[in-house]
Amino acid sequence: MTRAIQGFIKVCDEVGNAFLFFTEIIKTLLFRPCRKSLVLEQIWHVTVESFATTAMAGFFVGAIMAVQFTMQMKEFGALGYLGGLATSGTFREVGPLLIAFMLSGKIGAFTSAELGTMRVTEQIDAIRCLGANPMQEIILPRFLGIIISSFFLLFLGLVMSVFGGMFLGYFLAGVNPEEYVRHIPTIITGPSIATGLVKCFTFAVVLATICTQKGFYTVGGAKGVGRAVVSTAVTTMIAIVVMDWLTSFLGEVLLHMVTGS
Amino acid sequence: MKIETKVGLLGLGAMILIVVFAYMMGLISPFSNTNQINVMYNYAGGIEEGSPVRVMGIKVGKVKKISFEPGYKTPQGEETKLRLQISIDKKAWPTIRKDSKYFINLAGVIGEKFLEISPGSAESEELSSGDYVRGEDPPRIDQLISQSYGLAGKIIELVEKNEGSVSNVISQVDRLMTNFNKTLALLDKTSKNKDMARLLDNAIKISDDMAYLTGELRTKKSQDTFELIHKLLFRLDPLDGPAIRKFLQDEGVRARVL
Amino acid sequence: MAAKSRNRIIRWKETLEQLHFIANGSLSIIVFCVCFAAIVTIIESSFHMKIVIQNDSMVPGFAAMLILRELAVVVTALLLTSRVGAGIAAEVGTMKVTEQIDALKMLGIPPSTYLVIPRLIACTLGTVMLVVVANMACLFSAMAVSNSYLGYPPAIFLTAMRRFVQFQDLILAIVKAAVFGAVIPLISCYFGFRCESGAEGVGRATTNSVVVGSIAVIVLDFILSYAFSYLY
Repeated sequence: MTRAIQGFIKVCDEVGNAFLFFTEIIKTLLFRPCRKSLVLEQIWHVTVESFATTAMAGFFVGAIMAVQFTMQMKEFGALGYLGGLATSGTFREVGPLLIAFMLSGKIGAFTSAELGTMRVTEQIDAIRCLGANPMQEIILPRFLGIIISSFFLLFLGLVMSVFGGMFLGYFLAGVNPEEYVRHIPTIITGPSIATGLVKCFTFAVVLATICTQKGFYTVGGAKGVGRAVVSTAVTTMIAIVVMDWLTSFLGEVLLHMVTGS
Repeated sequence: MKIETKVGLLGLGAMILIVVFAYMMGLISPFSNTNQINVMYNYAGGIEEGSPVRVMGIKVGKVKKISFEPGYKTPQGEETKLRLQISIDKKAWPTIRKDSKYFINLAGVIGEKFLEISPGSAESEELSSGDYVRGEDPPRIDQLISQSYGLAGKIIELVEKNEGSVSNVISQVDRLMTNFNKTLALLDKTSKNKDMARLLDNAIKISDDMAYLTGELRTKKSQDTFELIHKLLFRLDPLDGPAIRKFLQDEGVRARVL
Repeated sequence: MAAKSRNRIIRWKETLEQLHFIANGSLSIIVFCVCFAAIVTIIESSFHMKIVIQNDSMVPGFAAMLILRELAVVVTALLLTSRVGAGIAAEVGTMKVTEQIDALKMLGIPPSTYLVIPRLIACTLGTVMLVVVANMACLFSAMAVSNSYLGYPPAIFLTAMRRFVQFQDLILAIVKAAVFGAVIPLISCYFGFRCESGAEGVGRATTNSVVVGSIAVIVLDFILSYAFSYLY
């Protein structure tokens, strides 16, 4: 029982730390100048590092969804809708979730390992000794860079998922690529794409906050770095799942408010 | 707690959950209280193993097994080659009697097939578990469609073969219609004629008089007259045949004399 | 006696400890995540169904199918990749960096079998157990959500579900889980053994194992789904 309470307190600590760190970053962003060259460097770095991974993950996620939908559609004899349904399902839910999982493994682990190494090898303290603000010099560019580039990468993954579905629809179900694409706009509408984009953006912010925070507060040598990476990946995934629910839920509520039903 | 225990608990939990899932899917049903009967069909369009069985629309069981029995014959000597082994909840068992009927029906948005059992009458006997009964074969939609195709084909054939006569019939009917129309128009005109109007007036007067007359007939006086005539006839009746004959003969004699 | 226990191929005690770390340690996180994923699935698929066929009577069945065939297994496997895979890579990497692996070699114990086999067995078993638990947790939360959100009580949910999924779906999910569970520790150990010196090396090994592990899970999932699509 006491362990359960301790666990709960630990979860609260994690959430609190993340929020405090997030507000600190926002404060730094508002009140201190940000060097654009550093941000651009980060964007370039992160994007190049994860481009192939994301594209591949997106392609396969699309293909998996198409496999699953094909079996059902065949039963109802509605293969024409395959393009629209598989793409819609991927865009609105499964795609952002799985690709964000990938990115949390890739970008999150990579960034927190880098920051952790800096912390463990006392580079961060050195920066502080030189009279610079490590938040401003190290964290802020990474935070912004990760948000921008992972938003871009998530979107890229979603586009790739359309190709993956199309590829599979052609080879497994024999759905013509033209037909596949033609049915996409019948089901995907503005709100669907907006939901996908909002999800991508939320996931990007969550990812950036957690990985910089975990990396920044690493303690305990090589083992500590390993621990930081593991805890980044796990925490990010949990946060992403919760955010996924939250965005879906809020989206639904907003839709109800707009349509008035 | 030892870690062995914890891991063991998790493993056991997983196994129990597999069993729970199997129970949810209806693969195993340890708590069920069912009886079995075998329903024989020659055609059971779309029933699958696991399809629900309903009595009066309430689900009481499912199709357990479908098997083919080429050699089976009903007591009446009819060959039925398809055996559906169904399980029925004991709650519903008393409603199923010897004279229950077994239909195959379609329900729901997805078009699920199910086996519907009509309740039997209370006078007939209860079935016992494992009995063989004959189901009502559902109408075969495919046959129906092919038959209606055949019918449509025959109609088309007929029309094509007798194209000349059919068109002839149609043109004659057309002519008939035009004639009829003309007649109707004439009738219309005559009804507006003056003589016709007078004729009608007279007819109305006559019918009025007739009504008066029949009214008179129903009054007291005429009733009395009727009574009198009746009495007269009654009295005349006892004058038996020979007297009448005699009278008639006399009359006849007189007539001859005259 | 010591030599005998050292030379045994399978070390049961170690395997059990790993199983405890993998299965019991990840249980709460996985159940939590999977439940949320199930809720989102219900909400989103009801949205789709309303567009395509104007009613959401098929949502329970459809969501149950998606959960059993893909969602629960993949989410569990990806979470395990980042928690267990990264953990193993960091552990083995740290051992490599602090020269414990060289010490094992000096003692005449092959480090690959000594470290890999317990983890392989533990992870395979643990993933299978976790996937079963995750599937059921997912289905139960989906049932709860469809009751409160869509207004389909559990009985209707079950009836609709039976139309779409069979028992073999769970079996195939277990097969998938076993494959993922075997792949994750292999990849992690591979990167752990190739770890370069220093904190940086451990970080990179961990990152790489997570990335390659996740990609492997997704690609294998595709291959298995494709293969299973001929079995349904």
